[in-house]
Parts: sequence; structure tokens; C-alpha cells
Amino acid sequence: MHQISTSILDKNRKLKLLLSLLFSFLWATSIQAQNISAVEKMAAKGYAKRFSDTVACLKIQQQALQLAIKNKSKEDEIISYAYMAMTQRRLLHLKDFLHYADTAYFLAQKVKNVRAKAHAAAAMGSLKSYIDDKPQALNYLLDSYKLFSKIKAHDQCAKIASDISYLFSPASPTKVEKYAREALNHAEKSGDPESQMYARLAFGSFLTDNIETEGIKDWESTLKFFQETVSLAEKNEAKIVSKSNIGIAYINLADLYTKGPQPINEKAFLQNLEKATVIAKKYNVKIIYRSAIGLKGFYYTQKRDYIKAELLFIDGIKYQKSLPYTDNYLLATFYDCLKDVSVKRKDFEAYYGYDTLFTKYNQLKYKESTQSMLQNADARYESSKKMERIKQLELENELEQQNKLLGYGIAGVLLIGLVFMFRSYHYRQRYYQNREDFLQQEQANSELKMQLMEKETIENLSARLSLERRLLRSQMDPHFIFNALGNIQSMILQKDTVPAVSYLNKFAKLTRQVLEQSRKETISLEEEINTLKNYIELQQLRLNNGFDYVIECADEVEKDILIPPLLIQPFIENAVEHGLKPQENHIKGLIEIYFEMEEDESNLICTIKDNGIGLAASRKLKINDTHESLSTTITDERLAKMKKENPNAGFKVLERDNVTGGQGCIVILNIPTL
Amino acid sequence: MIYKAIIIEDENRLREALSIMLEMVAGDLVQIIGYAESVDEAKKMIDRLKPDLVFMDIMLKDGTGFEVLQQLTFHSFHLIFTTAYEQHAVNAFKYSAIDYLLKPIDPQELKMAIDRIAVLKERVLENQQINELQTNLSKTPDRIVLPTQEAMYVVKLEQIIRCETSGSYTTFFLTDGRKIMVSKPLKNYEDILVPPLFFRVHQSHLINVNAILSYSREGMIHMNDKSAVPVSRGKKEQFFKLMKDEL
Repeated sequence: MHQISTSILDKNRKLKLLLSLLFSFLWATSIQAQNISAVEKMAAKGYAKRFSDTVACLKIQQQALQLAIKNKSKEDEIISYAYMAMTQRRLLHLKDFLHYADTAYFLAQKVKNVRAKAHAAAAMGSLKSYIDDKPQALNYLLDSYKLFSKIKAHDQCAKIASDISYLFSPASPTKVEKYAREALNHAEKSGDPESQMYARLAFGSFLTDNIETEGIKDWESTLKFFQETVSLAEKNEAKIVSKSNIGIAYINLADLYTKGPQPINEKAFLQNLEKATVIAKKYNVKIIYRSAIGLKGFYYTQKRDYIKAELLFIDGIKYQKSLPYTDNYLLATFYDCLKDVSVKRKDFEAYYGYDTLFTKYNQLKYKESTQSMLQNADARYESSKKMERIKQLELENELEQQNKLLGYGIAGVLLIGLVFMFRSYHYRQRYYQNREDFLQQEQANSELKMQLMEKETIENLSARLSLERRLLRSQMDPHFIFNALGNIQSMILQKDTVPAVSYLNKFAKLTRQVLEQSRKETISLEEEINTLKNYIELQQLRLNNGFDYVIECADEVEKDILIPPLLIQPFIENAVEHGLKPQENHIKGLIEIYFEMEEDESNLICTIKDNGIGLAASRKLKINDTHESLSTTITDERLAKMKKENPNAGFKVLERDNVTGGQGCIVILNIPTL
Repeated sequence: MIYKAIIIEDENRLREALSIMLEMVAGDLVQIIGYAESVDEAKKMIDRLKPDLVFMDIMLKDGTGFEVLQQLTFHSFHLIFTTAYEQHAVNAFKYSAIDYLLKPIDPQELKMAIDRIAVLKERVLENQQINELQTNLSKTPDRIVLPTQEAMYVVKLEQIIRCETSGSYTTFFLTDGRKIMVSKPLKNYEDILVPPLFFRVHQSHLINVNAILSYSREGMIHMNDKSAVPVSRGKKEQFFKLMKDEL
């Protein structure tokens, strides 16, 4: 039992889903005559033809614009642009829509005319809602609403209030009601059937939502309201520009019967759908036709009259295919329905056939949305209002944040609500498509950002690795490595096991230290000294203890200060290879390393003294050592880098003479402490 | 015969290691008659003792082994360089067909080097070869020394059409139709006969890219000396890429 009711509920949802796809163009407006310029009248006249004759519609609007330019009326120009934007929306030309809306709004900043400003804001609001930027859409529309209210343009107010009401759903039911009611009031005052239809549909949407959430206690009054709407539509059929709104009224009413007391009033239900079909055929409003079929099909499916349901969907598909324009979205939906029916009938062969077709149209549907996504992307990039775009992106983020804050806990409720958010099939389709496009685009954007970030990271990483690797090479002179290994080999050959093991240990330790430290940004002075000691002792072993060394620190030097790693070793290497090694054997070498702080205590000063042959004599030997140049280059490079932040960083090399005492060479290193 | 040898090496232990190893692998062939650790000592010792064999370290206390060679008056000895790491020098040795050993020295390689010497006739280190080495150290080599039993051939790189190896021998096919067989494996030349001029198309074949006539579908490269060389499967992709870049 429980299961059955769940499945009925499911069915209901599906039904609603399809139904909610039906509702029509919210932007249908009719124009009141008072205080309206000739240009606006012309533009509005053109706009009214948007469903019936697109060519004439565009032509008249162009003429209106030309007239406005000729009259040098900025206001009229703005209004013309706003109408053109709205027309482009109807034609689904996002690029032009964007362009005209932007233009209208941009020009409106420079005029004081309330009406022109209101139109421009309405166009912008419409654009934002089209590209699924709800907060911005609301901003603009509320702005426009205020302005239109000021000049008592009730027809426009009715239309915009309706839109605002839709936009507030489902987040704020009270606002939905408020604006739907205001829309009704304005529509009443305007006395214009087009606006009345508009407002009534909005209010009806609010009432339907109320039934959804609060049970069916208001069902009867809602029914009454819907019946009134239908009779209003029937009476004013000729005056209503958006014929689809008439069809929607029927469909809404039919749908309402399905929500009423069970068993439903089948006769009334089918009758209204039939009327909707008639309107659809009369004015060639295919969305009404297919919606009527969809609803009926669902109804029969629910009634387990699968044969009728199947025939209906097939009929719907046939109709769709007879049209020059292929609506892949709809075909996919209908085939999906057919799949459903086949499962119910347990006809799996048919299911397979429908599934194949469903897959086909579903894919086409996605291809379309991808193409449109690319178009949208182009449109955006070409938009002159880059700042606008940035702001918009920020707001999107904000909205996302807010949504998160709102919590996914109520996401389920919201999702159901969302389904009913827009009452127009067309609007809906665009809405979903846009939303999808938008998400895809967002995704593409963020992917691009990710790629960029990745690229940057990789570049940074490779730069760092390259320095790291070169640093490593500068420290671990291959010559030094292989000679050290040769020394160990020699000890083994001479069976000097103890020194061999000790030498090997030192070598392993040094290798590890250098490997680890070359990867670090900073190391403590103590670590640096340990590495140095290790290195020097290995060199001592190589040179048969041919030299001594001392490392001293001034009192003020704290051993835990942080310095860049491995800066000092290349200088020790130079001292050994070029200072001490060429020295006559009878002179015992000495390397003195002294650490002290700079006077202002910011930098560490390291002085390296050797008593080798000195700079001049060493140069004479001209030993061609590529390693030496490498390590000097790298040390130079590293110090130059540090110099940017720390101008004192650097080193100097001095010859020891009579003034400085003794012979050999002195290196004074100024190391930044970090 | 017993080879009288001098070791020129500035690190005590390395010197000792080499002499112990020599004793181990060629004790009956080599007798060490002296050590030197600086340029000055070395050249005096060589000129005075006139050794058959010299082991020469590149980096000496006060200079390099190359300086020693330049200053010698006596040249009639077999020369084996020893080096820890001098990539540049190693390439020059290869071009100049001068033997070398990497430190720490592998006893087996040492034995092979001694064996190679033993096969050769009385050997004179010709001035030409030293000059060749000097040139090759200072610039990118455009010539290569091919040592054979009977002579040292100095061959311009562009003269080489291709090299083919069989075992530890490599035959060079030259533009003038000469074939020169060297008792070194192709591997020895792999590092110096490199793209863009040369390409190793096969385990046993190395070719001069400029001497390619055509490539047939069966995977054979036809050279302009009418010979055909196979391309191994693993080298095909690389080969085509190289060809593309050439075009």
C-alpha cells in the first residue's frame, strides 16, 4: 500500500514536472497608451508581433530606433533598445540580447527620464534572469518596478511584479505572495487583459504552490480563480498577444483538477486539455500542444491505460517531427515517457527501441546545450561591460555562498520548489538550459582557472626544482663524490676497515644532509655548521689531513637562527681545491670560519680564511674547473635573489696580504637571516 | 714483456688503490716505477724514466694532465687517463681514441685496458694524437681518431657514412669507399656520434643522417653508398621524428 502511494506520488511529481514546463512567455506585455511617446508605441507595436511575425517585429523596432535617433531623443532610444533586447530574448539570441540590454542600461545612466530608466532596468533584469543571475535580476527588476510605479505604468508594473514574484519563489513565499498580489492590483488598474493574464498566472502559480505545501484546503478557491482566469482569457482572446498564456490558463486548470479530490473530474480535465490543444493548433503554439499531450499521457499512464498513453506520446512525437524545428529536449522527454510506459506494460522490446531513440535525442539535447554554451561564452567575452561581468561573478559566488549557508538540509524541499519556480515551459526550458549552460561554463571557467593554477604551480615547481637540482649539483661536486668513493675503495683495498667504515659513514651523512637541506628554504645555523664540519672532515681525509680547520661563533650569534641552506660550502670547496691543494707539502693548511652578527643584527656575517696560495697564484694555475664556475654561478644567483629583499646580502673575496695578515684568501659572506 | 708504469695522481689513497689493483689484475704485466702528483713532477719523471705506460689523472695539484702532455719531450708510451668526472674530457678522449678509466676504478675495466695495450704493437703516442686531443678539448670536434693495428686514422665526421658493429669491433664505412675496423664496440661511439649528424638506427648500426638516400617500406634505410641498413622497431619513431625535423 505504502509502495503504491509512493509511486503515485512519483507520478504526480513527474506530472507536475511536465506541466510546469508548459507555462508561457512571461514577458508578454501590452502597452498602455498614456504618456507614451510615438517611438515607444511603435517599438511596442513591433514587440507585440514577436510571436506572429518576427521579420516585421524587428523591422518596426529598427524603424522606431531610427526615429528616436533622428529626433535626438535619448529616452526613446533607450526604450527602443530595451524593446529590442526583449525581442532578442524571445528569439533566444543571447548575444544581441546582451548587447541591446547593455546599451539601453548604459545610455539610461545618462538620462533622468524615469520611464526610460525603468525600461532599461527591466531589460537588464530580464537579461540577468535569463542568464540565471537571480540576485542581480531581482536588483534590476525591483529598481524597474519602483520606477514604473512612480509613473503609474500599471501594465508594466503588473508584468514586472509577476516576474519578481516568480524570482522570489521558492526562497521567500511571503514575497512571492506580495508581488503576485501587487501584480494583480496593477493589472486590475491597467484594465489591460494582457497584463491581467500575466498577473493572474503569477498569482495562480502562487496559489498552486500553496496547495503543494499546505494541502488542498484552498483547492476550491484556487479552482475558482483559475476558472475566472480561463474565462477572462476566452473573453479577450483577440486582445491577448501572448496566445500561449491562454493555453497555459487551460493547462493550469486541467492540472489543478489532478490535484483535487479523487477521483478527479476526468471530464473537466480532458476538456480543458482539449481547449488548450485547439488554441495551440490555432495559433501554432507548439509548446501548448505538446504539454497537453504530455499531461494527457501521464494521466493515462497513471490510469494504467497504457495503450492510450503510448498512442498519445507517439502522436506528440509525430507532431513534433512534422515541424521544421526539432525540439530534441521534447523528443527526449517523450521517448523517456514511452520507455516508462513500456516498462509498465512489460514490453521490453519496445523499451529497448524507445531507449535507443531516447539516448539519441538526449545526446542531441546535450550537444545543443554545449553549442549554446559556447555561444554564451562568446557573448560574454564580447560584452563591453567587463566590470559588470566581474561584479556578476562575484555575486554568483555570493549566491553560491548564501545557498550553502541556506543549507543543503532543506535542499530537498528547495528542489521540489525549484521545479515550480518558473511557470513557463519556454521560460523553463530556457531556464534549465541556461542554467546548465551556465554551470557548464562555470565549470569550464573553473577548469581553466585550475589549469592556469596548475600551470603556475608546475612552473614554480620546476623553477624551484631546477634551482634545487642545481644547488644539489653545486654542493655535491661529482668530482668530490667520485674521489671520495675512490678513497673508500682504496681503504678497502688496503684493508683499512675502520677508516673505510668511518669515511663511508661521513660520506653517507653528508649526502643525506645535502639532499635534505637543498630541498629546504631555510635551515638553522647549527645544521649548516654540522654539514660544513662533515664536508670539511671528508676533505681532510682526502688530503691526508693536510689541513686543519676551526669554526667559531661570536657570543651574540644564536645557533638557531635560520639561514638559506648550503651557501657556505662552495667557498670551503674553493679554499681546499684552489687554495690548499696546490700548496707546498710542508705548509700545513688552515681554514678558519668565523660567524658574527652584523651590527644591526639583521644579517649573519661569515668569514672564511684560508692560508693557501692565494687568489693571484691560483689564477695563474688556470685550472679549468667547470664545477667551480657552476657553484659560483649558483651562489651568485641565490645571493642576487636575496639581495632584492636584503640589499646587504652578498659576498666579497679578498687576498690576504700584509695588511690583513698572512697569505691566502678571505671570503666575507653576508647571509640574510630569515 | 713487462710494462714499466708511472701513476700520476695527486691523491695518495687513489694512487695506492690503483697500484694495488694493478698488482691484482696485471701483476705479471705491469711494474710500477714511479708516482707523481703535480705537473712539474710528472713531466720530469716521464722524461727521465721513459715509461711504457702512464696513468694520468686530469686534475692535479697545480694543473692538469693535459699540461703534462704538452710539455713532454718523450712520447713513446701508452697513455691511460684516469678521471673522477670530466664529461667534457671523456668525450675528447673518445674522439681522440685515447684510453681512459673512471674513478673509482673498476678492476675489470683496468684489466681490459691493459689487455688492449698488450695486443697492440710497440706504441708511440704521436704528437698528432696529443694535438688532436688538445683541439677536441677546446672546441666541438669535427674529426675523430680511429686507431687500428696498423695506423691511426684521423677521419672527418662528414666522411663517415655509417658504422656497423660486430661484437667488440666497429667498422667505419667512409665516403671514399674505405672501411676502417676499430677494436672498440659501437657503444663507445654512441655518445660522440650523435644527432643531428648521426643517429643510431639499430643495435649494430649507426648512420650519418646526411648520407641517407631513401627509406623503404620494409624498414630499410638506403645509404648513398648503395648499402642498406635496417631500422629497429624501437628506433623507428625517433628516427622519423628526426627526419621530420631535418626536413
